[in-house]
Amino acid sequence: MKRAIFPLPIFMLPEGYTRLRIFEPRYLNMVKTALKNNTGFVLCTFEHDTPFNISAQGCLVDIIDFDQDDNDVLLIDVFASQHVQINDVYQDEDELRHGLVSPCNTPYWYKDSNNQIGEHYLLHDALKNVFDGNTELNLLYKKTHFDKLPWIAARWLELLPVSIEKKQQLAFETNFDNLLNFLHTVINNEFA
Amino acid sequence: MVSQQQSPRCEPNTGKYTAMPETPSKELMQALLDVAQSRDKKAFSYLFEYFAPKIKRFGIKQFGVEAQAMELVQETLTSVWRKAHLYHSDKGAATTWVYTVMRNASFDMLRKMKSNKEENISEDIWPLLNDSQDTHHEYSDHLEDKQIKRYLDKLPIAQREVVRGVYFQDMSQEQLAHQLNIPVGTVKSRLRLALQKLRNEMGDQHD
Repeated sequence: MKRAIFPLPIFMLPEGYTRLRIFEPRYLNMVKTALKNNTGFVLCTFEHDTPFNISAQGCLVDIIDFDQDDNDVLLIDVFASQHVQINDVYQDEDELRHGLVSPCNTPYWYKDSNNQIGEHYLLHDALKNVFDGNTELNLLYKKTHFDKLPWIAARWLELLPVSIEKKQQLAFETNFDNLLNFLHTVINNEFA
Repeated sequence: MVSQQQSPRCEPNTGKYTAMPETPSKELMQALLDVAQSRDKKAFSYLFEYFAPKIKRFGIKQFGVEAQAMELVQETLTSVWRKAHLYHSDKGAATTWVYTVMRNASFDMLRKMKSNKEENISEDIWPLLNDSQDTHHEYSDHLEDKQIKRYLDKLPIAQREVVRGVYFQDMSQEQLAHQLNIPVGTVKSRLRLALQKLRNEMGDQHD
């Protein structure tokens, strides 16, 4: 399927939410079209060395809410429904990028039901604290899944102050155990 | 073992024979002060003669290569020449101060070598300042400016409410420290450790 693509220095995984400020005409058009046709658009990582700065994968997002800020700029809340592969990127006359996107099952650990919270409850507790302590984050997330370890790991990965590149490496290029180890080291100081 | 042509400053002041020559602390301190106060070249060459072989030995241990050890000698002693005015006798022995300068120079070199070889750890964690200057306009305003967010926590609450944006992307190290109730320095070292472990797990194929 063909979708408009919005490259930003952002890291998002399925079932994540984020808020964007939309003011450029090309992206206002993108939002208009996405709402009209109920198609959403693709949010991907801004790359410095790829055609049109588009990364190979991105997240298909749905616009779930909108508002405006104090300067009357459009704000949209988006929900990442799915991770997608992006191909055949081109740019239209308004400099909006489009591409052919196809669903992919990455990160592969995300849907693995064997990943139980169990011994990893500290990751759960600490994330719960973050949500409880941040009204914005709490309001942004219309749906949470604190009972699912992959959801918890994904949110931590989005939130932690490491580079997008490292986040991608952790999400897609290493196994779930390594990711959990990483999180435990940072969050619980476990030198396992 | 004791050189016949020792500089007079280096004369052991006890007059007693010792297997290890004593550190001429007083002389070194005086030389350093002379360099600081009057850019005394003779005093500097005295410091050079005393420290160069020791720094070189440390450098060889550190880098395993003589060329780099010599670079460390040069880096350290140039810094000593330039920064001597920052030394005060009440800060402790001249040797301590010079070795601190040496250690810093050595860390700098290691860091440089590392960033040539692989990614610099600090850039892994703080990519925002160097990154994306050229393409900044492309997206800067679509996301709440992260750098502003980073300063948020330092603002008084009232101001924070004004600046605090619409947008929540990721946490600053300060925010994470606050959340976990630990010092920022601890966050930094845990992140560094975690990244290092990750690198070990994944081998070198990504560097």
